[in-house]
Amino acid sequence: MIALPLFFGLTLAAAAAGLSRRGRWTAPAGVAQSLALLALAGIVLTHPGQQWLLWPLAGWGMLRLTFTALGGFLLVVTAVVFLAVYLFSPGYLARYQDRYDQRPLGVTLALLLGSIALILLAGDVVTFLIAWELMSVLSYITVVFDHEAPENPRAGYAMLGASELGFLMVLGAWLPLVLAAHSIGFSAIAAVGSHRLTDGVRWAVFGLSFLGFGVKAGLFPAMSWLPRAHPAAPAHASAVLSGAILNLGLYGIILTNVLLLPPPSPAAGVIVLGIGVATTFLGILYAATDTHIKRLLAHSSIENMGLVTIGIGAAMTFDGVGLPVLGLLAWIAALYQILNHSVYKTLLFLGSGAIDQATGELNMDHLGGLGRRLKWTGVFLLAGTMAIAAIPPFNGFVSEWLLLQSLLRSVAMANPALETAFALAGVTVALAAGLAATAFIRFYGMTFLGRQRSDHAARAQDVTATQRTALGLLAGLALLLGIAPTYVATGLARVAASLAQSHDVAAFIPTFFQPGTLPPALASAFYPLGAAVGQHVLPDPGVVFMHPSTRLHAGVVFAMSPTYLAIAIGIALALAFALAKVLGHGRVRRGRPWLGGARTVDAGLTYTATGVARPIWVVFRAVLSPGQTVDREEVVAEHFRVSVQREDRSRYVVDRLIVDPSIRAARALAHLFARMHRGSVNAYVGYAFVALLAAMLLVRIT
Amino acid sequence: MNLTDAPRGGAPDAPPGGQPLHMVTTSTATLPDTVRRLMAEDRPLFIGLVVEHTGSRPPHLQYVWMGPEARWLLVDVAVDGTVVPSITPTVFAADWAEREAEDLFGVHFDGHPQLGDFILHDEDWAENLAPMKTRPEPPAHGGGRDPYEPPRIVQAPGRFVMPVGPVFSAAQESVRFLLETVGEEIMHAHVRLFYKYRGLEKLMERQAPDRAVLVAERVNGTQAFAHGLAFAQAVEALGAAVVPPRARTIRTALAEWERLRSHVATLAGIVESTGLSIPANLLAAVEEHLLQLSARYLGHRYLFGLVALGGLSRDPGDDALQALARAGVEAGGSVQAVCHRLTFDNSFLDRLEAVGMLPPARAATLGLVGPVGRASGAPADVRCWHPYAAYGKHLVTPVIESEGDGYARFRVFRREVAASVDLIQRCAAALPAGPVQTPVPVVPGVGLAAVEAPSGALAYWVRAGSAGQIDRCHIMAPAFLNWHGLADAVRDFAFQDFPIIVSTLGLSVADADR
Amino acid sequence: MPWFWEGLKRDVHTLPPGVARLPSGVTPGRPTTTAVTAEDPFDADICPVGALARRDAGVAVDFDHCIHCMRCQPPKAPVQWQNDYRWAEAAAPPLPPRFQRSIHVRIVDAGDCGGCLSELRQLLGPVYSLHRYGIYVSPTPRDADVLLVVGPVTVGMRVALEETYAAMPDPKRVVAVGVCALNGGLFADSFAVSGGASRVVPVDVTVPGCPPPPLAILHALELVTGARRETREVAES
Repeated sequence: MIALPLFFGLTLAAAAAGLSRRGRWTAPAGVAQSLALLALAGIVLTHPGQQWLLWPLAGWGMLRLTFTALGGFLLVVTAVVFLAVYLFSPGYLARYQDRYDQRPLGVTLALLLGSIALILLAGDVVTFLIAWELMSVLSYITVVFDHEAPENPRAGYAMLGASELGFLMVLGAWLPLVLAAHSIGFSAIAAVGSHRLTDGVRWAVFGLSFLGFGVKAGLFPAMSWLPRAHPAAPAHASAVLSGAILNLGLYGIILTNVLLLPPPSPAAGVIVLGIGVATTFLGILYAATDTHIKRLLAHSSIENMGLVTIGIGAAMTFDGVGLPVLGLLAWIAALYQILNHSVYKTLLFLGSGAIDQATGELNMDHLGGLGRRLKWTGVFLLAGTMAIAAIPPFNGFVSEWLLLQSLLRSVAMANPALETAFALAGVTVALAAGLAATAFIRFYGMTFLGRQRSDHAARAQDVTATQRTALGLLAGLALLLGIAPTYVATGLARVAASLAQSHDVAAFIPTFFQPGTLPPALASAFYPLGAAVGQHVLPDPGVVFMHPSTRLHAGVVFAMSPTYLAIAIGIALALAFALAKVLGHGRVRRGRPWLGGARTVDAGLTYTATGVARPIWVVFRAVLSPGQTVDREEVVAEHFRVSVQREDRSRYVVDRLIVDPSIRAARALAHLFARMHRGSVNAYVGYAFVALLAAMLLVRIT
Repeated sequence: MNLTDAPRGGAPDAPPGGQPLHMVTTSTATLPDTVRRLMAEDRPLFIGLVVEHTGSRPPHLQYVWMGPEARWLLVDVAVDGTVVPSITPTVFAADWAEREAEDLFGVHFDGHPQLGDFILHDEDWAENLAPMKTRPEPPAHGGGRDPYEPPRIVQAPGRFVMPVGPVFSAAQESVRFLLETVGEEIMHAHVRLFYKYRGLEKLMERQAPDRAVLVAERVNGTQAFAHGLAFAQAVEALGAAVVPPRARTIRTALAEWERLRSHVATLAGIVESTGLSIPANLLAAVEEHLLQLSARYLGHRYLFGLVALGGLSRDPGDDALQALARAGVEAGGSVQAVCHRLTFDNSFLDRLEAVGMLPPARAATLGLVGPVGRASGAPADVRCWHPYAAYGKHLVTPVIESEGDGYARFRVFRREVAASVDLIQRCAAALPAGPVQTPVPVVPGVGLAAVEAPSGALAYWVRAGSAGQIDRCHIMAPAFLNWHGLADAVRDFAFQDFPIIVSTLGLSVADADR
Repeated sequence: MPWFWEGLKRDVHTLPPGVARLPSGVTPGRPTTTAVTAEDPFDADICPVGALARRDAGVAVDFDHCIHCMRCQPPKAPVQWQNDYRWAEAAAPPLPPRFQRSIHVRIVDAGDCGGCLSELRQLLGPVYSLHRYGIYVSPTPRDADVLLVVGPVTVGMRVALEETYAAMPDPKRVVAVGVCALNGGLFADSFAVSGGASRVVPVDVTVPGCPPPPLAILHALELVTGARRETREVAES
C-alpha cells in the first residue's frame, strides 16, 4: 500500500523538478510520476472498495479516498496519456524555448496529473470538488501558456468561465444529496439518496449534474469553448486536455447519475442519448470541414465524447427498462470508446505537435507532402488516422462497432418510441463514422501526401527518438486494442459490472473454443469457417464477439472477430504484395505525373483541404454557415474583375443559435432591470404592491 | 498602297462601291473620345480589330463594327509610336482583340489591364516576338520562358485553381481552363486558348486567293463553307464581281445545310453533356446521316472545296439540291421529335434552366454574337443585317430568346434548325438557271465581307497586293468573340455544370485559335 | 426509362459489321493513279498541293498530300476517283496478339481544324459504334495502347503531345489521322506548326484524307491491332 503515498510524493517531486533549470528534469520526473500512477491504478483495480480516511469534517463525515473500478480504469488511461505526453514534450517544447519560461508549465502539468488522480480517487464531495477546482485552474494555465497569440487568453477565459459555470451547477446538484444523506461521503449518499428525494429533486439533480459535468466533457450545448481552448494550448497539453480531462466530465456524469442517484425514469437515458447524438453530429461536422489541424482534432474530441455519451445513454436506458445484459454491452462500448479516444487522440495531438515542430504551420491548406520528410511521424499518424476513422484492424473500429450493435439491439425493448430514438442514434453513429473517415483521410492526405503547398515543408525535420517512442507506443496500443479486443472487453466488463446490473460478459464474448459452450447449431456453422483456428494458442475466452439470439430457433444476432479480421487483412496485403511482385516481374517504370498535357503544375493547382471539404460544407451549409459568406469585388477599366475577396463571417452553430441569443437575452433582461432601477418612486410602490399581491395569491393556492 | 483607303464592303447584291460604309479616321489621341461618341449614338456590334504593321512603319489599326441595314462602322487609327489608348473600358468586346494585337504585333494598349501571354504562350515563344509584323523571314519559335500563371483573382482561404486540359479524355478540342475555386463552385474562370494557334493569317499572306480559300475553309473544318464563303465574298467585293444568281441561291442553300448539320451537332453535344445518352445518340445519328448526304450529293462530308471565287467550284444540280431539301425536312423532323420529348424531361431541364446565365445586358457588354447572343436577346444576325448571297431574296427572321440561360440557347439552336430546313426548301424550289461561277479579278485594295456562320458573325478583311497576292488577311471569327463570354457564363456555378455550360455555348476552339 | 423505349422504337442506325455494300456517302472517295494517254490535255498544276504528277503512263497521285479540294474530279480532270476506305498504311507491326480483342485509344488534338475530330466523334457515335469492336477511348493515357493524333502539331501542342506519349505504357502505337498529322498538310508552311506528328512522336500508322472518313480511321485501328474487322469487299451502291 505504498503506491498511494509514492504517487503523491512523486507528484510533489515532479512539480519541484519542473522548477529545475530550463525544466530539464520535468520529463524524467514526469515519466516516473506516470509510471507510479500506473502502478497505483493497478492496485486500485485489484482492491476495489478500499478506503483511505484522511481527516474529519465536523458533523459531515470524513474526507476520504476510495478505490473504485471506474476510477481505476480512468487512472490507467490517464497514466498512459501522461506517459506519452512526458516522453514527447522535451523535443517539442524546444520551439517555445526562446519565447517563454517553461518552468511554470512543468509544475502545472505535474500538479495537474496529481489533481486528476485526486478527482478519480476522491471518496467524498469535498475532496472531489477541491480537486476539481484545482484541475480547472491548472488546465486554464496550460491553455494560456502561449499567451502572446491574442486569441489564446480569450480562449482560456472562455474555458475557465464555462468550467466555473459547470462547477456551480454541480454544486447545485450535489447540495440536495449531501443534505439528504447528511454526509459528504459518496458511499453514504449512494446508500440513502434515492429514498429520501422526490422525483422532482431527482430530475433536478440529473439535469444540473449532467449539464454541469457536460460542460467539462464538451457535450451539447456547452461545447463552444472546447474548439477554441484545446488548440490554444501547446500540443502536449492539448493531448492532456483531450485525452485525460474530457474523461473527467464523463466520470462526473456516471458518478452522479449511475453510482450516487440513478434518475427516476429510463427517459433520462434517452435524453442522454439525444444529447450524445447532437454532440456527435455537430462535432464531426465541424471536424470534417475545419482546416486547422488542432481545431479539427478538438471538434473530433467533441464527436468522440458524443459517442461515449450515446453509449452511456443507451446503457442507462437498457438498465432502466430491465435489459441488464444489453446494458453491460453498452457500458463496455462506452468505456472502450473512452479508452480508444484517449489513445488515438493523444497520438494525434502529439502528432500535430510534431507537425508544428517541423513546419510551424497547422493550417492544412498550407501543408502537404510532409510524408517524404517526416517518415516516422507519417507512419504513426497513419495508424492514428485509421484508428480514429474506425478502419480495422485499429481500435476505433471495435468500439464503434460495439456501440452500433448495442444500439441495434434496441429491438429487444419492444417499445416503438425508444426503438425510434435508438435507430436515430444508430444512424448518427453511422453518419459520424462516414464523416470521420472523410475528415481524417482528408487530414492525412492533405498533410502528408501530395505536393508541398508551402516551403515550410521543405525544411521539415522529423521528431527525436524519444518523441518517436511516445508516438510508437500509442500507435502500437491503437493496434493492440484493435486486434485483441475480446480480452480488452473482458477486462472492461469488470469495470462495467460496477456500473451495470449484470456481469454476464459471456453473453457476447462466449468461451468460443470450449466444446459445449456454444449451441451445436452455432458451432457447426462457425467451426467449418475456420473460427476455431488458433484455439490451442489463444487463451480463453477466444477472439469472437457473438450474441446468440434469446428467441427460439437460436440464431446469431451479431458476430465479429476483429482478430481474425486483422489476420485476414494481413494475409490479403501479403498476397497483394506478392502478386504485384510476381506479375510485375519486378519491373517498375517511374514517369512524370499526368497533368492533362501540361509539363509542370505547381501546388496552387492542386486541391486544398478547404476544397476537399467543400461538398460536405455545401450539403450542411444550413448548419455551418447559412448566408454568412460575403464576396467583395474589385473591378478596373470598367469591366475587369481583378479581385474577389471572400469573407466568411460564420459563427459556431452553438454560439449562433444558443450562446449569442442567451447573451442577448441576458443583456436585455439586465437592461430591463436597469430601467427598473431608474424608475420613479410611484413605480417602485407599484412593484411592491404587485409583488405582495402575487405572494399572497401563491400562499393562498398552496 | 494607301493605308487608309476604305475597304470595299461585301454585300454583292448592292451596286459595287455603293455600300453604306461609315469610316471615321482618327488619331491616337482622340481615339477613346471618338469611340465613346460613336458608341453613344449607336449600339453597333463589335466585330474585330484589324492591324497592319508593315516593316519599319508604325502600325495601322482599324476597329470594325457592324450595324443593321448593311452598315459598317470603321474607326481608322494611324498610330504614331507603338502605344495606343485602349478602348476596352468603353467597348469590352474589344478586350481580346487588343490582347491579340499586342501579342502578335507588339502594339501596346495603354489602359488595358490584362496584356501579355495570350496567343503566344510564354512557355513556347520568345518575349516581344510580334510575329505578325511583316518581315522577310518567318519568325522562329523557341524561348521557354516561365510557365504561365493566371492572375490571382480570388482571395479566400483555401482557394486553389482547378486545371482542366489542354488534353481531354474524349474527342475534344485542345483548350485549357483554369478555374479558381474553393471547391464545388467556380468563382472565376480563366480560359486559355491558342494551344492550337496555327498562324493561318500569316500563312495566307503572299498566297493567291484561290489557294487561300482552301486555307480559309480549314480555319474551322466544321464550318468550312461559311469560312470559304466569307473569304470569297471579301475578294469578290474587292474585285466588284457580281456572282451569278444561281450561285448565290445555291450558296444560301449550302450555308443553311451547313448550319443545319452544325446545329444538330451542337444539340447532340448539349444533350450528351446532360448525361442523356439515348437522345444524344439519336441526334448524333441524324448528324452522321447529314454528313453522308453531303458526301453523296456534294462530294465532301464537310463541304470542302465547294466555294470558289466568283461562285461555286461546280454545280451540284437541281436534283441534288431538291434531294437535300427533302432529306433536310426528314432530318429536321427527327431532331424536332427528340427535342420535343426533351422539353418534358425534368432531368434535362434541371440541368439547363437558369444555368450558365448570360443576361441580355451582360451579353451586350460582352458583344456576344450568333445563337449565343440571340439567346440573350441580342438581335444581331448577319443574314438580316447584311443580306449576302440570296438572303436578300429569301428573308430570314432572327430567332431571339431573352433568358440568356442554357435552355434559351438550346431553344435557339432548335428553332434555327427548323428555320434552316425551311430556307433550304425555299432555295431548292426557286433555283435560278445559269452559270455558277464568274471570273473575279483580284484588284489591289481592301475587301471586307461578313457571313452568319453557324456560330455567329464571321468577317474576313482581305488586302490584296498588286501582284494578285494577299498582303494581309484578318479573320474575325464568332468563337473568338463568344469564348470571351465563357468566364461570365460559368461564374458561381458548380463544377458539374461546367461541361454543360460549355456545350450550350457551342464553341469551336479552332475557330478562335486560327 | 421512357428514353429507353424511345430508343428501341427508332430504327437501327448502326452500320452492320462487315458490310458488303456501303451506303453511298459513307466515304467521299479519293483520286487514284489513272492511265491517261500522252495527248490528253492535263495540267498537273490543277492540284494546289502538288499531289498529282504527270507520268508516262498517266497521272500519279500522292494521296498522302491530297486535301480533298476536288479540283481534279471529273469532268475537270481525267483523274479517276474510287470509293473505298482502306486508306491506312502501317509502318510498324501490329500490337501483340493479346490486344486483338480490345484496345484503349487516346485522342490528342494537336491543332486540328475540327474536321478530323468530328470524324472521330462520328466513329464513337451510334452509326459506327467503335465500342462494339472492343475499342474504347481511354479517360487517361496511363491505360491507353494507341495514340490518335489529329492536326499538324502546333507549337503550343508540342509539349502536350510529348507528355501524352510519355505517359502511355509500352507497347504502344501512334496513328497519325489526316493529312495534317501526316505532314502538316495545308498548314505545313506556317511558322506556328511543327509539320506533322512524326516530328514529335514516332508514328506507326498513317491515315491520309482531309478528313479521313470514320471507316478509314477504323481501318487504321485494324492495322494497329492486326484484327480484320471489315473483311468483305465493298462496293458503291
